[in-house]
Parts: sequence; C-alpha cells; structure tokens
Amino acid sequence: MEARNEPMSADPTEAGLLAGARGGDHDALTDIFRRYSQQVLDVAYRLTASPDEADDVLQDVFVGLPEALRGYDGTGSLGAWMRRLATRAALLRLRSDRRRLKWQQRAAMEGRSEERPPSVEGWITLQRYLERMPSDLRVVYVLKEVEGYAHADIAELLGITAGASEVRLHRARRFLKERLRGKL
Amino acid sequence: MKWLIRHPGERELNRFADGALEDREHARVSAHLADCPRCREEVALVRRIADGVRMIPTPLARDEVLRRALARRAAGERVLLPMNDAGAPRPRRATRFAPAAIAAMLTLMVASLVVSVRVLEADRPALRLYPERPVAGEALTVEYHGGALFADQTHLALRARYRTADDRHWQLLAGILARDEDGLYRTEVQLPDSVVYAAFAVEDLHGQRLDSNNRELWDVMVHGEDGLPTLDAMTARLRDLEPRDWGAAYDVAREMTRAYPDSPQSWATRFSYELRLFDRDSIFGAHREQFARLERAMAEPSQQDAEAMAWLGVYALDLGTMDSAELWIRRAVASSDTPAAGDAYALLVSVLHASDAAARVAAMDALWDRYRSRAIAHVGWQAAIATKDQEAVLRWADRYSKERPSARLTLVPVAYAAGGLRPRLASEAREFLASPGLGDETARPLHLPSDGHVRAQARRFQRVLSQGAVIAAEAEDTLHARILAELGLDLAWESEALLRIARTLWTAGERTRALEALVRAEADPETAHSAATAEWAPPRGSTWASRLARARQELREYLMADGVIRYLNADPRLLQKGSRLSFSSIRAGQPTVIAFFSRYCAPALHDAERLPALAAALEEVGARIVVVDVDNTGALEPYLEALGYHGPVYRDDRGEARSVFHSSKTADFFVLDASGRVRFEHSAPSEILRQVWAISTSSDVSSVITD
Repeated sequence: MEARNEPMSADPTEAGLLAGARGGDHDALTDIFRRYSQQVLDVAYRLTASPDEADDVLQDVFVGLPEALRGYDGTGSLGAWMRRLATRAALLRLRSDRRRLKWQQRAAMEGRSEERPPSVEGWITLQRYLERMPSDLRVVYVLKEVEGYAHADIAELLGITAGASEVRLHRARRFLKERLRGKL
Repeated sequence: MKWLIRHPGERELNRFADGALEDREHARVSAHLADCPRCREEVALVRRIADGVRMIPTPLARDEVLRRALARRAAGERVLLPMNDAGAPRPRRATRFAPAAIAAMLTLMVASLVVSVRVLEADRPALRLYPERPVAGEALTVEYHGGALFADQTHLALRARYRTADDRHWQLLAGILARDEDGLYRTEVQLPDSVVYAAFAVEDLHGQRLDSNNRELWDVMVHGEDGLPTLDAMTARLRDLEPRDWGAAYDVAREMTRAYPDSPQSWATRFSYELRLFDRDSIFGAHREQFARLERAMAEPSQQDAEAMAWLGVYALDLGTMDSAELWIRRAVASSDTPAAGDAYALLVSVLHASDAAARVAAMDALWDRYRSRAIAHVGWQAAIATKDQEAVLRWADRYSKERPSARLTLVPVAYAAGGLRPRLASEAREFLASPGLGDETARPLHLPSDGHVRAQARRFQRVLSQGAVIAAEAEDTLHARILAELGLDLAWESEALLRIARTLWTAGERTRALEALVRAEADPETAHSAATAEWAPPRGSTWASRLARARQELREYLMADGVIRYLNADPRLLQKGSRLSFSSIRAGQPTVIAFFSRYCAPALHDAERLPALAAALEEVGARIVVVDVDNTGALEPYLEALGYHGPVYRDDRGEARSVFHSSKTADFFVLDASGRVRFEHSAPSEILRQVWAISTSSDVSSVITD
C-alpha cells in the first residue's frame, strides 16, 4: 500500500464490513486496514515517538480488532473510534513497560539538570527534543494538543486527576519552550 | 507603561493559549498582550510549537504490518485491547492568531522534519534482538531481514563481539541464521553470564558479503532489574564504539552521567572525553562542581564503595587535584581486598603519575600480581620500554603478547629499540605471517569481510616490519634487517613502508629486491617525489620507465580492490551562507572528495589538521573537496579557518547528505569520480590522494601528481 489512506464516512458497506471483521474475516480486516491504518499509526507514533513501537501498536490493534469491534456500537465514526482504540493500545504499551518509562524519565531529567557545554546545545534538533520528552509528559501533550482531548478525558485515560493532566501539559510545554525558544 | 506592572504567570498564559480562562480573565490577559510583546511571544511560541508537533509527518502504514497481524491471528493469537471508551475528544479550540511569518517559519521547520523522519524510516535496522533489554545470561532471539544482498542464501552467519565487565572481549560465530518461510532469518543466541555487551553483524557463510548495518553494527546491553542498562554494559559499549565512532562513544559517556548521575565512574569517563573536545577553562568549573557534589555524597557511610572511591580518585587526577586523588585512591585500596576494574584503573593512573620510571615498572609488576588485564599489560609494556631495561621489556612483552596476541608484531620495532629481542621477534614475525597470521578470523573486525581483513592486516604488518627493519639496520644488525624487510616487501603497498624496505634491502646488498620496492614507492603519487630524489637511491636502468608504468597499473589495481562503484540515489542539498545548493552543482563534474566533519569529535579534529594540505593537493590535480559540517552549530567553520582551511564549509542541516552517503560518523571521507559515482567509501585521509589518482583517467591528472 505505502500510501496515506483517508477515512471513509457514511459508507453504506460499513455494516457488512464490520460484520465480516468481527468474525475475523481477512478480507474485511484488510479493507479496514486500508481505510484506517494510517490514522491508527499516526496516533501511535505521536504517543510512543518510535516508528517501531508504532508499528507494533498497529499490529496489536489489528490482531485484537475482531474482538474489540464487538464493543463498537456504531455511535460516532469508525475512524474516531479506531483512533481512541489506538490511543488506549499505545498507552497500555507504554504503561506496561515500566522499565522503559523509568529510563525515559531519567534520561529526560538529565536534560534539565545536566551542565552541557553551550555549543553542544545546538546539536539537538526539534525531533530529538520530542523524543527526549518524558513519556508521561509527551502523552498528555499529544493527547491535548494533537488529539484534542480535554483534561477530564485525559485524566480518565491515564488514571490521573484533571489537575495533574494540566500540570503535565504545563511541564511539557515548558520542556519544549526552554529548548526551542529562538529556534522557531 | 502598564504592561510592565504585572505580567500574567506562565500557567495563566498557557490557559489563555488553550482558551481555558474565564471571560473576565481572558479579557484582562488579552488587554495585556496587546501591549506586551514579551507575553505575546510566549503565547505565540506555545502555539507555534503545538502547530509544529501537529504537522510532524508520521511513518507510512505498511502492508507488512497487516500481514504479520493476520499471521498472528491465523496462528490463534488474540490480543485483548483496552476498551473502556473515554468518549470522543472535544473539538480543539481554534487558534486565535497565526501570522504569516510564523506559518512560513513552521514550513521551514516541518520541511526539516520531513527529511529526518524519512531517514529514520529508511534506516530502520534490519536485524532485531529480543528482548531489547536482556538481563545477564538471557537468551536472545535474533530476527534478520536480509533484503537483496542475501537473496540467494538460505543460511547466514551471525558474528558477534562480546564484552565483559572486566574489559575482556572476543569475537565469535554466535549463530547460524536460517531463513523461515516468511523470508526472515532467525536464530537464538545464549549470552554467557559474564557478557555485558554484544555487537552483531551478518554475513554469508564464506565471509565475503557482509551487512554491518553501515558499520554501526547492531548491539545490545545487559540491563539490571531496574530496567536500566548496567554501568558495566554502558562502559563496554563505550569501549566498543570508541575506535569506530568516537562521537557515539562520547554520547554514551554523556548517557552514563544521565543514567548514573551519582556514579564517579560516569563523570570521570565523561570528563576524559570532554578534555579532548573543549578548552579546559570552559569545562573545569562544571566538572569541579560535580566532583564536589560526588565527594560530599561519598562522605555518607552508605556510599563508601571501593570502586566508586577509586573512580573519584581518577576524576580528581584528571581535574588536577592531586591531594584529593591520593586521598580517594588510598581509601579505595584500603577498603578493598580484590581490586575491581575501577580501582585497578585508579592504581594505573597513579602509577603513571609516578616520577621515576623504575619505580613505575615495579608498581606495575605489583599490580600485575594482583590484577591482570590487557590495559594493564599495555601500560606495563610502555612503562618497561621507558626504562630501557631489557629484562623488564622482555617480561612485559611476554605479558602483553599473551593478553593481545594480534599485537605481537607491533612489539617488534619497539623491542628492537630496547635490543635483545631481535632473533626471537624476527622468528615470531615469520611464524605469524606463515599461519594463521593475516587470515586469523578471530581477529577480523565485524565490519570487514575476510579479504578486506587480510588486506588491512597486511598493510599494518608491512608498516611494522619496515619499521623493525630500519631499527635493525640502525643497530647494524644486517641479518635481521634483511629478514624483516624481505618479510614485509610483498605484503602490501604501503609506500612509506616500501621506501624504508627499499633502503634497508639496498644497504643489505639485496639490490634486485631493493629495486622492486623502490619502483613501487615511486609509482605512488604520495611517495613518488621522495623515491625519485632519495640520496641513497641507485641509478635507474633503461627499463625503469616501463617498470614504473607497469607498477602504476598494478597500484591502480591494488587500490581498486578496496573500491566500489555506487550511484547516489538522490542529490542531497547542503546549506552554505544561507543558500541551499545541490551536491551535484557543488562538485561540478569534477572528481570530488566529500568530507563529513564534526567540531565535537576528537578524532575528526585530528583529521581536520590535514585539511588545508589535502585541499591544496586536490585542487592541484583538478579535484575538489566538499567539507560538510554535520553538527549544524556553525562551530566548525571558524575552527577550520583557524587551522588554515579557508574553503567553503557546507551544513548538512537536514541530514540529507549523511543519509545518501550512508555516513554515520566523523570524520568520514568518500571519493567520487567525475561522473558522481562513489568509488571509495570511508577512506583513510592518508589514502585519499592516491585514490583520487587511481580513479582519474586523465593523463594530465596523473602527470601532475606524479611529477
């Protein structure tokens, strides 16, 4: 495929498609993949900041999709539902790998405390800043700024309070601002 | 002006940017922003960043992922996805303002992101190791996607270099990868318990075709229970990277201070790198503060670990605070019965700081009795040479050659200087070259195929043997001078070495063989002048011109054995003084050397010193050099100017050139012919001029170089 796909709305064949996919039919899953895989991958990539991890999330979503679709009642578009499913799958992946989180947090903390020779600072591109942001901050930042979730929804997704979500957003913004000031 | 009276807080400005303020507060902040450029910029920056993040391109969904997902389902696997739906996100509030200038800058920024993301995807490693964070002694599953390189191979060799915490390392055939029905090669590797780091490369079963991940290899570090790579594993990785990518090794040193900020070893290691990169004045302040912090922490009884104390001593030594160094090293030694790597190193450093050479060797002997390693053997060997004490030299030559068999021949010239070892090392050289010598597979670097390894070894030994021959000749030991020169003559085409060999053989009366060496040296543009004008050189006969022409042709063939023919798959664009230029327009149809440099890589800085002479020599033969700054900080250009290089320095700010050339380190040189094809990759600076000569068919170029 190797091409961006677009969601299809109000598709008369969607009901049949969903029935087939719920039954694990490969053709139906392939069709859904062609329509929505890019949206799923986009969400997963932004949350994990890793193309490999994003691929893994996409793969997991499609392995588990037939069973998951039994919980989709047709309210709202399938594309939006798939994005939320991808969000939860990516968060689950990040959360289940505590070691990785801890490593990322420590690696990111150094970014604030480390005395780096000033001229070295210029090496770091925006891309690397995003990858280096602690994942707990990045997740909130992406959910709020890219996916458009409200703090209350983020709080529910992450099992934190809305206030904590706001604080993390604030910290994430400060993390990026401190590094990107004068460069954008 | 009223906006000077009270600025809104950062959080308030964030809430304003989100549209989350109550109407009254919103109006107040709006009024403030109308008059306050600083706060306005704060809000604009938050929005610019968010817009940039939203516009970051993502990788493309690949059918392969679907195929794998369906295969997993077909195999009966099920994944229970989290299903408690949090409801649809609320619509994002519209951005209140987005000036055209901001949009334009964002476009620029995002353009650079497009490239970096594409590079990321293209460079995705073809070999994967599971688990990615193994613990000591864990079995690894290795999965490799071979691509076209190995399309005809059902089985591949997985070579590895293992490293232990105590600095032992060895190379081995770690496993045979077998191709499965899905086209992927797989095998399992059991890491020995002592191994903390492993690097891998894949090759065919004959060692002729090789995938070294563009010389970066694939590697894995052993992790602790806390999920972090262990300090030993990071140290081993750093040691493995240093000879092949110094900049990456420095990155690891910095990562060590992030992962283990309370470890003196982390900071001492990092400091040792930064000493080679920066002015002392610019880094000493920060490191002295770190040292003081660590010293305070070490005063806590719970922190009194012998190895950590020893590393604190090493850190103090490098900082030049000798009193502290002695204190901590003494404490480390007193509190440890069995020296660990850190305090062994500390002892080594203290030995090196001793003033008397004989005392130093005695201290090294004592250390050797307690702790043995290649590093200690190396330092002991150097200390012994300094004493000129033949017994000590012999003793440490034995120790060093046992610790590092492949270094045996490098002992030759130095041992000759000390005397007494000539017959023994000459015979060792003969035996070594006979078998297995140059073809010793255990010494083959992971990034070299078998024949490339033999050629590299041959070049090295030719240099060593020629040096040994000269030293023997100076000692009037004609017999061994002749033996060593003869052994070295046919090994390779290191022209400086050939000149030395020619002179030694001529002096020893081996005139026919001397002329064989001389004509080869004279055929090489690098040494042609020295050979043609050497005072000792014999008169050339009438056939010399034809012999020289034949030797030049042989040299071309010899050089081209290490060459490639590779077409660039894109025309990278480089930035120079605000203009973006295509590489093809810069090279303008000339033979070209592209040189990737970094201001922050010590070996690159060393190579940079050659740049002015190299650029002048290339210009003389109608070739050009394109110097590329990979840091994108602008720090390289003034540095090179101070060295005397005044040519243009191009910035690879988008990483396009590095991607197209497959360059991941600095300094890194590539030689291209006039058609723009890459003919030599990762060239040594000393080889560049004759490589350009080899690919230049123009007689003008040849004559300019050789005359």
